[in-house]
Amino acid sequence: MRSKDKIAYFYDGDVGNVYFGPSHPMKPHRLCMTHHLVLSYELHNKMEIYRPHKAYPVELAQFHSADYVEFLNRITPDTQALFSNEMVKYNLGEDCPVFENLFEFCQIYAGGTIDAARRLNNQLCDIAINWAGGLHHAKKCEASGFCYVNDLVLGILELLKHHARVLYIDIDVHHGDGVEEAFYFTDRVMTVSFHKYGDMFFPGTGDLKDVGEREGKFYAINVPLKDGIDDTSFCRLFKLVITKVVETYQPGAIVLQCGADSLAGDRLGCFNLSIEGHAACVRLVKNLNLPLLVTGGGGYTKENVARCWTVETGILLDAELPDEIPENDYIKYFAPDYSLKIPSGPMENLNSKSYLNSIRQQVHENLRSIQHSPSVQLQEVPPDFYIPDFDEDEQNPDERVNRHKKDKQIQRDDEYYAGDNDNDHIMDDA
Amino acid sequence: MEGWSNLRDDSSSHEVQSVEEDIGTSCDLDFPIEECSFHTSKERLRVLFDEVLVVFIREKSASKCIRPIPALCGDGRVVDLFKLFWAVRKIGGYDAVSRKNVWGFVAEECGLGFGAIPSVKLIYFKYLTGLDQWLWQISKDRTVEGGESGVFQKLDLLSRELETRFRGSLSDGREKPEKDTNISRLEHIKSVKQYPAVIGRFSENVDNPEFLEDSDESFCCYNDFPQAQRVTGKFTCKIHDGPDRSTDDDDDGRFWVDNDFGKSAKRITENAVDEAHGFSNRQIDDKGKSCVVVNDNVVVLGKKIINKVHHPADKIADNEYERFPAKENDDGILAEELSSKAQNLLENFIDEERKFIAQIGNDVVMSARSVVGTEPDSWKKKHESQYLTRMLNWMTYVAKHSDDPAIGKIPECSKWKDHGHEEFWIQALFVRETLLIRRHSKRNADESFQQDQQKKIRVHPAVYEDNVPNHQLAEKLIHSTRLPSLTVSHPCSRCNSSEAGTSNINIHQKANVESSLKEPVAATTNSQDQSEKHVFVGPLFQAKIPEWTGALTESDSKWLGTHIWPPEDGKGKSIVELDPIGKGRQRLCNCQFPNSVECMRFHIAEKRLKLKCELGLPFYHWQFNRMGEEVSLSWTKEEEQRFKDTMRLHAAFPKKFWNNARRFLPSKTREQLVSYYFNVFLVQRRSYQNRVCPNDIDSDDDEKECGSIGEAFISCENLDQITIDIWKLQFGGGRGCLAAWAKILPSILK
Repeated sequence: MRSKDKIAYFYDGDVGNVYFGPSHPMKPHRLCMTHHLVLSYELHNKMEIYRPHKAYPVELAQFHSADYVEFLNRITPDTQALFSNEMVKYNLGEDCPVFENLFEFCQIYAGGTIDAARRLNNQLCDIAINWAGGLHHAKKCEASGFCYVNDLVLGILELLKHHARVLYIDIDVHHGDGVEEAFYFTDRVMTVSFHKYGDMFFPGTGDLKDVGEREGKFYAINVPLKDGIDDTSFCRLFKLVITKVVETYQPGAIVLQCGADSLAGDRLGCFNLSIEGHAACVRLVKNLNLPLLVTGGGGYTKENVARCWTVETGILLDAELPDEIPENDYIKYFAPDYSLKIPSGPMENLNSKSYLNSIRQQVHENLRSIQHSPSVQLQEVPPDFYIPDFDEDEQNPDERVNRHKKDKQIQRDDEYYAGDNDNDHIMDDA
Repeated sequence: MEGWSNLRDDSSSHEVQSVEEDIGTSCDLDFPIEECSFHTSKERLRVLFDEVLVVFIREKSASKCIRPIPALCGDGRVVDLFKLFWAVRKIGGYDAVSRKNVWGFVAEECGLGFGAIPSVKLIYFKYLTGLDQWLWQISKDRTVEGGESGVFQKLDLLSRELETRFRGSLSDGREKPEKDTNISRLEHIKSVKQYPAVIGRFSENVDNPEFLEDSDESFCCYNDFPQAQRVTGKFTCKIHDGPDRSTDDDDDGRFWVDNDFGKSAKRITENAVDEAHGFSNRQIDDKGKSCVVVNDNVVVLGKKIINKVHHPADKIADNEYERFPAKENDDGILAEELSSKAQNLLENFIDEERKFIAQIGNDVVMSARSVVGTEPDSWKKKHESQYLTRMLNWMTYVAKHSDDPAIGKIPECSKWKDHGHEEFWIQALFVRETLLIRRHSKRNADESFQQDQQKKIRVHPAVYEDNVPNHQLAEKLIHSTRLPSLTVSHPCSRCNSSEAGTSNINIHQKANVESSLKEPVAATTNSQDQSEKHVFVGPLFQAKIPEWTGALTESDSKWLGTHIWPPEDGKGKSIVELDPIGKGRQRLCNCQFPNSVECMRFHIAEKRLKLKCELGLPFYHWQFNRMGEEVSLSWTKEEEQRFKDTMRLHAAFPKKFWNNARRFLPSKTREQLVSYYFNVFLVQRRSYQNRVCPNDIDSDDDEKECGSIGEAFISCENLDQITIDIWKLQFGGGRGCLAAWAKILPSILK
């Protein structure tokens, strides 16, 4: 394990003033709140904070089509009526409205992710954080799902300049379709997305059987989940999938999209994760000790987004944060408890154990197929990563555990529930 | 009453009995007012009424000025004309209502209250008096024997029957078939009365499946009455006279054949005289042949199916006659027998099949609709749609009685090809396929547009709807309809031409159709509509990824972001060591009133000042100076008040607020407005909510109100002196603030 990670954190004060319009669930003001909370916990003293440069159109065009970028640059709320054809063509309008300073907003968040990737590339930091980024739905030639420019793709493309293989992990409640689509044909990027699938949930893609094509076949992993998944089952599945993926794929760097709409009580989401469960995934990825680019993403309950990303910033900084939120200008948003962690709600988990198990098996099976046909030689990157045990990590290493106790802790791989939730007997009956 | 029964010939005496019984049991002329309260389930009659009214107003109304529909009262509320007509009719007409002085009741019936009496009266006079008189006139023409009162009674009878029927259907399922027949008959009587106006619009009636369900039966039962004959004659005259109607004998003949057919079918159901109007298969075959001219195999197939349905019905009818010579609700029994016979044809129709059948029905209706729409003057098409409707009826029966084990079962779809054409269900499938193809060809026209639309899925339609009372619930609902809403929209846009009165039904049907397309058979023809969303591939979608050469491509080291923190000179470091990281909120403070508003405000200000001192310039880089409620300090009181007032004014339409914000607050940029909104307005509202309804905070629904918007931000005057000092210090700001902080700290702690 590295002694001390060097963290670079990107923030530009201008993003907080962006307003998508009344009734729009995406509120960039949450970034402002997050940053404010991070600072009121005084986390800034443990990291370097940068203001990202505003990505140039030519940088955005590394992925996006030049005409689309040019249109984004040109369009304003006042002129949008004149370009109704283009608006339709680029899917601008209701989901992705044109607002004031739209392009600047895109430049800032994309610039943040690109800068973060470059700092990682130049080994100026070990972990880079850009909560403003992570807009994973944007497509090459059109906007989609509140996303205009796909900063993740741009960041990954940047990372690919220094790394043979990049792993993309997405724990937003929505499928990371833009990123998956962009890298659908390549084995140099493996995309892993955990998301709600079915019931016509946006964006409708992300079936288990979508695994990539051509060289990229089996390099896209989708973990479709149902409503109400809780911490225990989600974290376990996450751990099983990600450790296996990292072991098989041996990425040179990891990009982690931390959409906070998978939290319980999100305005648009339907999962039941507590902040701790969400953050546990971040901790696991951090403990892989690979160059890590962390971005934000969805998250439509402002104060929970701020809580979640603050906790996760703390985790990336190895700082334990007290649960009482310090006084700050937005303290009133955190009423009535003024506490940092939010619990999961009383929601039914529609993901049966056998369902989760079948997903895991399928994913592992797909991973086995790539073990035999690596088209980018795997040995090029030294396997310097370290896969820690999820549970052991939280224990005190100084405390000795005797053999008997340890045996008791060993769980089967396909164990997703503890205690009452376990439906083993149902399986056995079948 | 006399006139009414005089109208019948002997052969229909059963019916007279049954109808009269209905009258006897359900109503007499001196019914109390309460009895005519309106039942909302009368949608079907409403549809008919709406159509007639529209046609009447357009074509028949004496005054040439077009009246807008829906009718609006003075205060903008919509008056339900059908309810109004109904209520007035029940009481006995405009004059009677005025005489009895019960306009208040009428207004209430229409859901408007006493205040709207004048409007209701006026609207009735303007919209419905003409219709009423016209109906009166027509019936007077027709019913010489019965006289005016007869017609009037019939209309009343209609109303009452409907009422009885709807009450009955709620309480007693057993009575339903009988009354069903009655209602449709009466409905038909009504529509026949309006034929002169409706004649050009008959096709629209045909489109209404419910109306058609029993229409030929009731039509022919009407044929038994002398005045009905006259009406029919008139009707036929109209066919000849109609400017756009083909006067060709063939058509005319077929029309009559159809009447005969209907008549004979009716006879069978009554088990009465079979010789005169006997139902003969040969006759139908003849008709079938003539229908071939219609050159649509759909008709042939439909006919065959109907044929088969009626054939067993024939036999049953005979048997039934012997068994129940004195039955009073023969229609009902026969309908049941028919359905039980029909249900025997199919055994294992489970839920999906039901949907499937419903779809066929919808397809049939839709096709009929489209056909009628394209060739309104073709009676052939009317026939077609009638056949199809009959087929639909059969289907409905089958679907309703899917569990009858007696007759053959439908095999898996893979084996369908092995079966001959004589099976009902296979014919039905053919019909459906034909219709689907036809529909499909239409669809191709705007295919590209649809596909374009299909691609664009909105993340969340609901989020743009304001005033969602319980958004969590609404959310879940919308999740499930998100994608289908796209596909469903296709046929809707295509069929906009169909009449407005039934558009609700249309949409409903189409929704069914589309949702049932998931059925395996349908998938063969509509696969592209239903195909799952897949990843798009092609140069327009994937990123260009350079080959991995092993050599490091130079990553641009120029743009790595601007260093903001920690300060290069290491000034920040000292503070870092002073304060442990991640200190939470302190539980105890030395304020006079811990946790009071002032205490909280003080600590926030304290914290802020500390942060400002610590950060220095970055404090401004990150726009901390534009965070929190202090934003309001750069606003005058008037501006704040104006913002709040306008916000409250536009609470229902926040878009309006943002569009007009510049007008009422010209001094503020949009950025300032947004900043004020998030930093002051929402925070204040939130703090108000925290106090007033802490358990019901919808944390992120900015548009949701919780109680009224809280009182204004407590202004500086209300704060105690120390806090004000801190605020001053802060806004005086600057380099020496740490020293100032040190100075003021002891006094705070005192």
